[in-house]
Formats: sequence, structure tokens, C-alpha cells
Amino acid sequence: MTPILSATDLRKTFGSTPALDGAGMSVAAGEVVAVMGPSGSGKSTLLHCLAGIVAPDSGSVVYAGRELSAMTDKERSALRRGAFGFVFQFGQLVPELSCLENVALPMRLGGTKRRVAEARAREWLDRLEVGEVGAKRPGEVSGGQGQRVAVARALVTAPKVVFADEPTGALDSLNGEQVMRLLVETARETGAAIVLVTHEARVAAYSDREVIVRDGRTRSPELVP
Amino acid sequence: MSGWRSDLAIGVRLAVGGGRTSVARFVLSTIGVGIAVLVLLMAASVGTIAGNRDDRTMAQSPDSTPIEGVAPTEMVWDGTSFRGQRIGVKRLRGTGPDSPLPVGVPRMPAADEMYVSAALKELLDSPESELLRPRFPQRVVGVLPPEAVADPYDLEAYTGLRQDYAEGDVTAVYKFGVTYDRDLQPEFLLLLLLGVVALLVPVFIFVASSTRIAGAERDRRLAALRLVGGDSRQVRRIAAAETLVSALAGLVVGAVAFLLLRPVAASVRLMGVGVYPSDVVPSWWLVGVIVVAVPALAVLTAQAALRRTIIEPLGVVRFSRPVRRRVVWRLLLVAAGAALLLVELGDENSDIWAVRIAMGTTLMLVGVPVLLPVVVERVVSRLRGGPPSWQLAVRRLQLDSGTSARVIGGIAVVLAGAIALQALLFSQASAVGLGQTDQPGRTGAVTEPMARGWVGADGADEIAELLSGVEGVEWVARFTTADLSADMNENNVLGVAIASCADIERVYRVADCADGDVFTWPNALADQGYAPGQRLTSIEWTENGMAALGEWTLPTEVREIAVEDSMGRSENLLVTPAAAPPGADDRGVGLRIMMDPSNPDTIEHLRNATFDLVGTDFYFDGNMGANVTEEQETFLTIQRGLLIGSLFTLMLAGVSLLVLAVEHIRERRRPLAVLAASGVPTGSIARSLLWQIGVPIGLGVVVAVATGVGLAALVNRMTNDPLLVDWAGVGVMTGAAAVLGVLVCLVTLPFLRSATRVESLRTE
Amino acid sequence: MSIGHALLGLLETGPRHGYDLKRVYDEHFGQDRPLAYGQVYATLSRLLKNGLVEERGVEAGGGPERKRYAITDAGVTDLGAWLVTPENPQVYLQSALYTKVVLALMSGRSAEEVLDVQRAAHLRTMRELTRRKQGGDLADQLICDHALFHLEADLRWLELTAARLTELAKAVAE
Repeated sequence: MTPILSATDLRKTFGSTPALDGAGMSVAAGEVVAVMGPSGSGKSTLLHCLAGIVAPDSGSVVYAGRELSAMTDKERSALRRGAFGFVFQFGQLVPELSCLENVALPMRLGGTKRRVAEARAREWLDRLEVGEVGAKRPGEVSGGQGQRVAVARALVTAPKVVFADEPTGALDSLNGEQVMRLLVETARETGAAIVLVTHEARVAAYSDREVIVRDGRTRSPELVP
Repeated sequence: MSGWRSDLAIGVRLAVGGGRTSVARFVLSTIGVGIAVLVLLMAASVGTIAGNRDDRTMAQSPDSTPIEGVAPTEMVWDGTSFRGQRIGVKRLRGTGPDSPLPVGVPRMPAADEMYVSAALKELLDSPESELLRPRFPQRVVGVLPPEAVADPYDLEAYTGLRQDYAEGDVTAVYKFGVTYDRDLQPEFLLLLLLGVVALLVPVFIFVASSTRIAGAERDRRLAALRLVGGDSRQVRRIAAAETLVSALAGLVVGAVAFLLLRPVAASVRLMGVGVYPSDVVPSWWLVGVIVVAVPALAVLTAQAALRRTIIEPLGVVRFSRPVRRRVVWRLLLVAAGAALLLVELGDENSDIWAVRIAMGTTLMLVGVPVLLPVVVERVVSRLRGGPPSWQLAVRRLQLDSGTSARVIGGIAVVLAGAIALQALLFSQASAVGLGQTDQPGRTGAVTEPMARGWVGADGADEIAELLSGVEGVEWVARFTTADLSADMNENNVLGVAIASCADIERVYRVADCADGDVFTWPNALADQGYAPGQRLTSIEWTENGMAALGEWTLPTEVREIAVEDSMGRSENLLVTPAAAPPGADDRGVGLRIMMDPSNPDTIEHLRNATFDLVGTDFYFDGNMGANVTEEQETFLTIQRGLLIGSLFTLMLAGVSLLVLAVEHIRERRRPLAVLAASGVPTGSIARSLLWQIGVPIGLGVVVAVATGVGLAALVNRMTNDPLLVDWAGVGVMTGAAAVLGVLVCLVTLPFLRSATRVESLRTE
Repeated sequence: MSIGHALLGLLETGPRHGYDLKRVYDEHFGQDRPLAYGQVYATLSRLLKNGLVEERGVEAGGGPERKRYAITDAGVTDLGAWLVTPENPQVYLQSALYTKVVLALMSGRSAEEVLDVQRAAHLRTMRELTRRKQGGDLADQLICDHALFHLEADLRWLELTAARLTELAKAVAE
């Protein structure tokens, strides 16, 4: 299967600390890949590089045949808006906007009319079983509801890849399970691939395969005989 | 473009209606911009106010250039004072049926009729004016309309001139209303330019910092927008729309406040100057500039603030260690300002000269807020140790000193401007003779309040008699004068007063005066090069200069008087009648009236007694304020304006400091609550807040004093005046800034207390 | 897991045939390992001997499979005591995996590889359980989660060991 997103030999240094030291991985369409590893191993940086949020010092990230580093900021932004979706541990929702507006935001940034965008957003909130929180602000809903809103926002543009960085990190087990179930189920229905950064095996068990990051380097178990 | 519109819509949406915190943010920055707009609108009205005043003054001014076919109106300027207030009286007499009339006077008043300004009418109607009314026996036949009175508080009257009045001071007026250009003297223009720059720079800095309120929070929000795919231009547009909303709201708030405050401002009388509400109208093109510049400035500063943050969708996370600020361009800016002031270019009072000064001053003043962040950063990074509150504050400042430095830059720039202005004023004040001491060389006070008069020789005795009977008058001394010359040079004349021994003993506390004695004041003769025994000529003034009246020899024995005050106005010699120079009798008699110091109304009684004495000239010490020259008047007005302005701007800076401190607490609610919860006493946290404001303020004051004095030195160099720094004034200004800092801290304490309650750990 | 107590618990709801017991047990607890008939009857006869159950009527046809069993009072007491006795937290200090890791280090093989392979195996199992959980009812979910948490615990041990391999290698070499 040809990968839609692949990274090779990524290196990235923050200050004097190397975060990535020759990491690489690939994601096939519709595939759920868990990126695992201890804290500070570089797994978040790997995700940021894959998503084009952080530019690696060297190495390449190719999405759908195009080198991310060769794109303009505008193109990368359009990619984040349309082809990618993001679910982080917390903080990715804009606190001033209502949940509904938050979900509609990527579409509106893409130029979709408000009414159309908000209608779609409402469908997605219903689909993630949080239709009732649409009018509330992120600060007024529970953590589990907030993460579902975040999942709705990540999926509303029918992305090809969803990047999830510890999406259940701030949730208890039950809410974590529900968010993961909804994320994986809806992603499979829409055919989105998921890059799932987590240090929890139970969360990683929702993936199809895992990539282990240690000291900025990746190892995939497939390579092990 | 619909994309643009939708970005702007998102920005607007983010600015308004986003929960309590975003409403608070919106309100704070709106108020900030609103205050600035209010100040700017007031400033924009100054031109109209001054212009309308000038117009009214000019419309009232008489033109005595003969006009053919016009029967002129004869006019005598008269006036009196009442408890320190000057009352102008113009007496009019028509020479024909169509003789010209001043604005607001419908017909020629008879000698027993008068038209008065509203303020004078009010004064005459009030019970306090009991001692004034005798001087205005005329009937009030009309009140002058506002367009006839330059200042609403001016006390003015037009009355008829008696038909038999034939003194020489009658002016023939062919027309009321003149046009002339009021050219400001270069040094006044300089002061005005400096003042305007020094006051407006902080206002703009204030606008800039108002729109950057809650910067950290905003950065985080915009980073979240980047994450979901806003490209950097879109996010800039959204941020612009966001600031634009509060800038526009601020414009509206400022405009409304201006309209509401206009009548109030007009009723306020600042240091003797009042304005009509209808005068408080900003000039239309300045309004245009404000409407465009304020939002533009707001958006530009917001964009400038985004320079670094916006690059990455993860926002501030990766910027834990801020970039070290570049110092070179900042210094270059100040150097450019100094260079502009140092280079000789353009004649005094030319346009180039004015532009050069304005630019140089602006650059140097802008240098203050520009340099301050660097200074604060460099100094703070060297600080170590100290008590926990100090450590907390220093560490916090090391992380982010930019925000507070920026706001304190606003205070520092006012301070620098005010110090520069004060130094200039101080130096200029001695130039126009308004120094701290009344007259250099002739110090020493008159021991008793007194008045002087000048009457014709004929009626002198009766008048002296009359005045002796006035309530509160203790002594009326009489003297005549003579003038002596050594070389018949008009510019070198020695004034002499001749008085009796009784009068000399009473006025100068001299004992054992004998007729034939000659007195002088310490150094008065030697300073002017006269020596005992010198032969002098007694002179009189003629149309062609001076004529000799006889010889007079300066005696070898001249007694010195300790009380340093002359009998008349400027004589250096006081002689008894037996020693009088020849030809000293018939020039009229000077009166010197000693008054009871415990009865302040004596002067008013005296005025009442003297007001209708024809051919006399009285002036009173209680009236010295009205005795300043017109040049000094202009100067004082400018000084007042600048002082009021600096105080107001300092207040503005205080408000922005407050906003900063409250916002700081709000933004750091959680960490503060954690500190409090883990047992750090609120007192320590409060002290650390005080340090956090106090350290930058201290540095700001240092930078401001240096810049202010430097600026004054540079400008004084241009005008070739010696630099005098009013260190006491500098002390007061810096003290005010320090007090402002402490006050702001005190006001923020309740906010701090609510933030450090442990319950606030739970919010959000 | 004490099968005897599980059967006692099932019998408390009413007397049952042996076959019946096996069916109900498998339904609730037997996802991984269904009970063998022999085990059911062996257990029942042990319980019978201890007086915790009794035979309650034999249906026509005879044979052990036609017997109905009921819980005795002693059985009820015993069951109650068991339920409130905490399970001994099981400590596998000498687990096979630990043995493998130590042996790998001692023989100079790659211990990391042992761990990686083990992790992959664990995750594979966990994936299956997760998939089953997603398709199953509440009971399925709870049971799968139980297993998942246990496997996760193993994996966390694996991660910790992996992080401390150098330290361990030093200790083994001594």
C-alpha cells in the first residue's frame, strides 16, 4: 500500500537538545498508527513535523507526493485546514468561540459561508454525541465533551490524516475510552488515517500498528523478524 | 473578497462576546483607546479655542487709522482691579451720529450708562462686590454677548465718556475690528512645539499599549487559529479586525465622552482661563487625522506584536526564551534626534527650523519608550538574590519585562518631556524677567503693603488729605522727582526722589533724618559708576531729548537705606528738600501710601476713593499680577497649558499602569493562587507586584531624567540660553511618578486578594 | 479465579443442573476458557463433600448429568466470606519475561529485542481485545477492559525495564 504521508531521516534540535535524530515513518490511507515512546522521546515533535507545524532541520516529509518544506506557508495552512485534522490533549479550542463556532472554524477559515459551516458543524456535534453543547463555550463544558468537540472539529473537513497528540491525556479512563472509540470509528467511516501519539498502551491498542520512538529515533516492529 | 470578509468577521467575533475574560479585555482596551481619543479631541480643539479667542479679541480692537467720511468714536482705556481681578473699562464718546461701535454694543452709551460682560454683571450683582459698586455708579443697560468678550470670565464694561473729558489719552477710533497676524516669538514657538510633541507622544504610546492588552492570551488564541489552518496572513487579518473593533469602539467612546464633557470642560476655569462651550470644537482635519490614525496605529502595533509569535501554530510554547533585544537601532534613533538638534539648519523661526526641532524632539522622546525595554531587560538580567518577594518579581521580569517596560515607557516619556519643558521654561523665565526672584539684584521685601500714585502738583495736598482719611491707610508720603545726568546721554540717567524727612523716616525706618541729607541704597551708585563728589547736571525731558536745568554735586556723604524699595519706581537717590537738585518742583507729586497690613480691603477702599480723580495715576501692590508685560502673559499662559497637559498625561499613564497590573493579575490568576495556596503570604505577593512595577518605574525615571535634561541642554544650546535645571521640579515630577506606581499597586490589591483566594484554583 | 466459588455464586440464584451451570458460567466468565464438563463435576463433588452444596432431586434417567444441585447454608456463608476477602495481589517477581530479559543480557543477546517482540505481541493481543470490545456488549467491554488493563500493566513494566536496561545490564554483569 502506498503511503499518503511519509517522513524520512528527520532531524530537529531545540536549543542544544536534539528532539529528533533521524526519525522516519509512513502512514497509509485510512490507517491508524500509534506513535509510542517515553516522555521526551520526541514523539510530539515527530507529529508536529509530520503535520507541517514545525519544520525539521533536515529530512523530508512528503504528503500525497509533495514535499511539505517546499510548500508556502499559505499552502501548508490550507493543508492543515482541509487535509489534516488535529486533536490535542487540551488547549486547541478557541476559548472565546462557542463549541459550534469552534467546529465551524476550519471551514470558515477556508471561506465557507457561516450558515453552511455551522450546519455541518452541528451534524458533527450530533454525530459525536455532544449536540447539546453547541452554544456553550469550551470553558463551560466537561473535559470529555470538550475532547469530543475537538474530534468533531478535526473531522469536520473530512481530512485525510488526523493528528492526535495524547487525545485522552487529560481524561479519566471512561471518558478516554469513549473519545477514542468515537475518534477511531468516525475516522474509519470517513476513511481518515490517524497518527496517534500516546504513551498509554490501552490507547495505542486502537491502532492498526505502532511506531516506537526512543531518543529521537523510530523503530517499527515490522522490521523485527 | 469573501475570504477577507469572513476573516474580518471571525476577528470581530473574537473581539466581542466571548465570555467574561474577553469582555473584560475588550472593555479595558476600549476605555484605553477612548481616553486617548478624548485627549486627542481636546488637543485638536485647542486651535479653535485659541483662534476664536483671537478673533473675538481682534474684533474688539480699535483701529485708529483715519477713514475718510467717518466721524470717529473717541475712546479712553480705563480699568480697575477688584481683589486681584482685572476689570477693563472702555469709555466711548461719539463725534457723529454714525460713529463706529464695538461688537455687542448696540448704541453709544451715555456717561451714566454701561454695557457689561456677563461675568462683570454677575460680580456686580453678587454681595461680595459691595466695595466695587461705588466705582460703577452707571446703570447697566445691556449685557455684552459672548462674541464680544474674548474669555467668558473676562470682566469688561463699555460706558460713556464724559463730554468735558479732554485729557490727552483719548484715542480716535475709526473702526472696531482689526486683522493682524499674531507672530509667535521663536522661543514661544519652541515651547509650544516641544509641549505638543511631549504630550502627544505618550498618548500614542498609550493607544499602542491599550490595544496590546492581554497579549499573551491573544497569542495563544491566534496560535490555535493557526493550528486549524489559518495561514499567517489570515491570522494577521483576524488580529487586525480584533484590534480594529476595540479601536473603533474606543473612537466612539472617546467621541461620546468628548461630547458629554464639552460643556463641563467649558465651565472649568483653569488658572484664570475659561472657554465657551461653543469654542470647544476640534478642527475638522485634525478629527480626520484622529479617526484614521488611531485605528491605524492600533492595527499596526498589533501587527508588530505578532511579528514573532505568529510564525508557528504551536504559538508561544517554543518561545520560552525571548530573543535578546537589539540595541543598535534604538540608540541610532536617539542619536538621530540629537543630531537634528545639534546641526545648524534653517534660520530661527523658519519652517525648516520648526520641523527640525519637532522631529529632533520627537525622535529623542520616542527614544525613551524604545530604549526603556532594553535598559530594563539588561539591568534586570543582572539582578540576583534578595527576599522572596524581590526574587519573584525579578524572575518574572527576567521572563517578560517587555510588557511593563512598554507601559512605563508611556510614563517615562511624559516625565522626560515635562523635565525638558521645565528646564526650558526655567531658563526662558529668567530671560523674560519672570525668574524665581522678582528682580535680580534688588531683593528684599517691602515691609508693609503699599500703593503709589502720581498726581498733579496743584491738587496734591487735597488728595493726600483725602487718602489719609481712607479706611486702613496709615500714612501718605509725598515726593517729587528729578533726573540727573553725568554726560547728557539719554541712556544714562540717575533718577532722584525728593521727600521730606518725616516721610523718609516713616517709609524707610530711618532715624535722625536732617534736611539736607542724601540717601541711597547699597551699591546703587557705585554699580552705575557714580562717585561721591561727582558733578552732575539736573535735566528735563524735551521733545528733542534733554535740556540742562542746573548743576548738582553728589555729596561726599551719602547715607544708605536698609529697606530695599524705592519711593517711586526706579530712582537710585533719595534726597531731602534742602539738598534737592535745581528745577525739581513742578512735575507733579508722587504719593506713597502705607496701609494697614491686617485690612486687605484697604486697597479696594483706596480704589473707590481714587477712581474718579481726573489726571491721577495710581497703582497698587495688591495689583502686581496685572502689571506683567504682555510678553510675560503669553509666557505664563503657555507654561500653564503645558503643566496642565503634563499632569493629564501622567494621569493617563497611571490608568494604563493600572490596566497593566490588573491584567497581569488576571492572566496569572492560577500561578498566583497556587503560590497563595502553598502558603506564600499575600503580603509577599503584593510586594513582588510592587517590585515588578517599581523596578521598571525606577529605571524609567532614570532614563527620563537623562533624556529630559539632555533634550533641554540641546535645545538651550540652540537658543544660546544657559541651562538651568529646576531640580526641585524634577523631584516633584519623579515623586509624582513614583507615587503613581504605589497608588496603582494599592488599587490592584483587591484584585490580587480575590485572585489569591484558594477557590480561584478551581475556575476554568 | 476460584471456580468453586463461582459455581456457588451461580447456585445462589437457584438450583441448577451441572450442564446448566457450565452454560451460565461460560456465558459470563468463560470468554477465554470455557469450562470442561469434567471440571464442573469434579468441583461440584468437592463442594458436595465439603457440605457447601447438596443434591436436590434427581430427574428420571439418572446419571450425574440429571442431578440438580442447590447451595447449602454453609455454602452461602462460605461464598459471602470469599466475596469480601480481597484477592491477593499477584506478584510475578520471577515471571518468564524477566527470566528471558536477564538471560538475554547474560548471554549477550539483545534484551531490547526481547522487549520489543514482547511489546508487539502484547499490543497485538490488546488490539484484538479492543476490537472485540468495540463490537461487544457491556459485559464484553468490562471483561476485555480487565484484560487490557492487565496487559497494559505488563507493557508499562516493559517500558520501565527498557528504560533501565543499561542499569540492569550492569547489575547482571556483576
